[in-house]
Amino acid sequence: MIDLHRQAFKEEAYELLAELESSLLELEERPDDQDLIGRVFRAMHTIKGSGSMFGFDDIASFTHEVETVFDMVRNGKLNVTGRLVNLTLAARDQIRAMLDAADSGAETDLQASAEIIVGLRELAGFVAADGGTPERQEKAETQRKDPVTYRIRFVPPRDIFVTGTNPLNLLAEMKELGTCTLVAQTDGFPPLEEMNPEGCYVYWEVILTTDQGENAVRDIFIFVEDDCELKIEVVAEHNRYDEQQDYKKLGEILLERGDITADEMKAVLSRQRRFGELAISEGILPEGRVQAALAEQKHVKEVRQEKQAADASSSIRVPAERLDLLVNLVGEMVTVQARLSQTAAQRDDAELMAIAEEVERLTAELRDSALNIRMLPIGSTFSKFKRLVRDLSAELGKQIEMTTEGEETELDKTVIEKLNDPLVHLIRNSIDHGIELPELREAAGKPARGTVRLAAVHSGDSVLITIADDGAGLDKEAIRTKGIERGIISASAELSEKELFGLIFAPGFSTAKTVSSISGRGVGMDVVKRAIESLRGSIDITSVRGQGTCITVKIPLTLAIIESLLVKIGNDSFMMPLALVDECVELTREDVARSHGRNLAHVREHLVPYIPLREHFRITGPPPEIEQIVITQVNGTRVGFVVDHVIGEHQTVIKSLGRAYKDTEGISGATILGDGSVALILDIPQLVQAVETEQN
Amino acid sequence: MDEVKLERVKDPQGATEVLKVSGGVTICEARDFREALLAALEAAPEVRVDVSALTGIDLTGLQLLCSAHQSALRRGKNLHVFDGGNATFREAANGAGFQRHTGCPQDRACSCIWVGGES
Repeated sequence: MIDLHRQAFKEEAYELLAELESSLLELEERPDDQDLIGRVFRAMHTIKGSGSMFGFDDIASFTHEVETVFDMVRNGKLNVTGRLVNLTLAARDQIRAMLDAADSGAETDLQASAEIIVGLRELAGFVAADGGTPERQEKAETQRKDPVTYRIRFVPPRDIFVTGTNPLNLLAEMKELGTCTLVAQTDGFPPLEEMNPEGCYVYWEVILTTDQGENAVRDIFIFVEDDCELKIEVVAEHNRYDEQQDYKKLGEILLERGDITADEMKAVLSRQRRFGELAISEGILPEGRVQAALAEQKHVKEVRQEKQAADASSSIRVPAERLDLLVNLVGEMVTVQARLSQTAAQRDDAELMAIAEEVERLTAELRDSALNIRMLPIGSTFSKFKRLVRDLSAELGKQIEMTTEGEETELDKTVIEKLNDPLVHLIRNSIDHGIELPELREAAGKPARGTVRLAAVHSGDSVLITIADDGAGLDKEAIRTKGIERGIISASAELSEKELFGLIFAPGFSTAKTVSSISGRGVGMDVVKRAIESLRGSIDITSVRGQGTCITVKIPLTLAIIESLLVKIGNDSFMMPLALVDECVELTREDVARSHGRNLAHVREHLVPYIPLREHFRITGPPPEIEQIVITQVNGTRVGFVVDHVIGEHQTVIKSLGRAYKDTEGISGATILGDGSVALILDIPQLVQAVETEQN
Repeated sequence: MDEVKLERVKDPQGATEVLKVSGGVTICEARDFREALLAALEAAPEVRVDVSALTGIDLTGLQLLCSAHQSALRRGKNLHVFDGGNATFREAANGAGFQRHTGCPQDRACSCIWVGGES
């Protein structure tokens, strides 16, 4: 049990630390932002509090030091400086290290902790010497409170108008304290002829929900308090977690306020009508009292609803495996539903068809929402990179600013996780090889400070992530020379710009003349490309010498489902990702004969190489008279795949193959068809590559 | 604040007395306002207080209107307040907490001047 809590604390702490980091980086840019300072303080405060609760005493005491400093910042006693941000970032890393070490039992670097604390104390002590303002701190203390709902009765003296006080001004002041409902009470009004037109007969029942203390309310009435009747009662304090959303019934409120007696209430309740209406028509109560009681009910309900809404919108922590299980089940459900629809169609049974259609609609919705649960905004990954850019540019003596766009773009959780490493590589490359040193930039007429722009945007069923820098751009000649040197291209090869840039993704390619600690070991880009392709994504480079490089990564929204084209060879079914398919053309025996076994098809004056899948997969039996070529677009070139029949489009829930088939070339997964048979999903880029290497 | 003007008009049938109040009603005019309301209540079984041209009203004015309504009911007469959508009047009434869901015990005819968006 304890372990469970400790685990929950750790998870929360990691999240808080991530948030802390991004807040700190923002704070560096906007040192006066009180909101950010508050966020940093709260994050520290929470880590400290729950840390000590779950026995992470070292973390609690260390965090306490940082919190103390930020409390001073919050109270305006200390300014945010670069040094403070640096120290706090270091502290954040230290807390993280302590968290990591907590499980493994490894010793944390106490020396580092001590250094950070000394640094922080120096900062704080230096300023503490010129004195703080204790009152301010006190004020901040009284303001941080949970809201309380008060019931206030204010009966002004009869002659209040004559003394020159307008009760409305007092009430207006009260409205500023929080949510306030005024109910004027008119039950004391005499008949018109007896009424002193200058007297005050009205009094008020006020329901006020505020985070200020009772004294703040009393202060408003300070000048009239002696002459008037002022009653302030606490109705509800909204701080307990076990609050029910239902507040007291109207009758209970009135009884509690002493507006009616228990007997009267029983008498009214014995008749089945709305209590308020009854009580008024019985003449037990003036309507103003009921109105006030109703207002009270409403206030409390609203605050509680808000609280609940806030709780609900926060989130529920669910282990990822459970979500995976859910998505798997939904996947099977989709398969079964397809079978149901197929069976219903074959039976020609109207009733069954209707049910099948209903199930189809529900399954589609279920599938979409199940997949949606796994979607996360990419923003958290982006903010991690901010730190990376900050640290790297400092290390390399470059001035680099990173801008991000489209943080709210959502991607499947697993995709985001697997995207992290490739993106780190690409950003490192931009910083290391792309952006020049400040002197060089200025010499080239560019601002000394370079920019790396990271953007994410939805595009159909994919997400495009761009990493653009305004650095030196790619050196085509250097790439070419290197390509020849490494034997990747022949010296006479004529390459388009695209093909040339594509070379940097070749294994063992690196143009950096020296190997730096950041990148340039030549293991970067081919790994990146493979990682992106394993996500069924693609990567594209554009670059202008002297102006910068832009790398675009295209990633499908989810890995669980793809649109695909169902094809058949013999008795076997295969799926081809529809995103890669360009068109389908026929292939007759004559066409084959004409190309003299070179596997080239004539499509509108162009030659398209094709791969006969029947041969490739060694499927026995004669092919049909007319075969089909599915032409796909792979890395910018058109490659055909010869199959027997093209069946049609299909939405496919991807099942991974068992461990035994994990390394099977050319197959990325499998799916179950409506009739229960299995179809393999073809890995088109890999197939093309395999055939190419075979021919070389 | 504009000077208050209290005009009494009798409609042709003589059944309804209209009291048109324009300008601002404050404590200074409260006595006159009360007299005008009383006179109107005496004159006809049906009184319509037209506040559509009102440019301001304080608590004394609101109190008098409410009391006049209660008095009218006690006498078995009717008193309506017509505000013609006058925002100043509505704000004044709501700001002082006079708005209601149901009328007071005297209000058997559901004619409370503070219920809903005054007719």
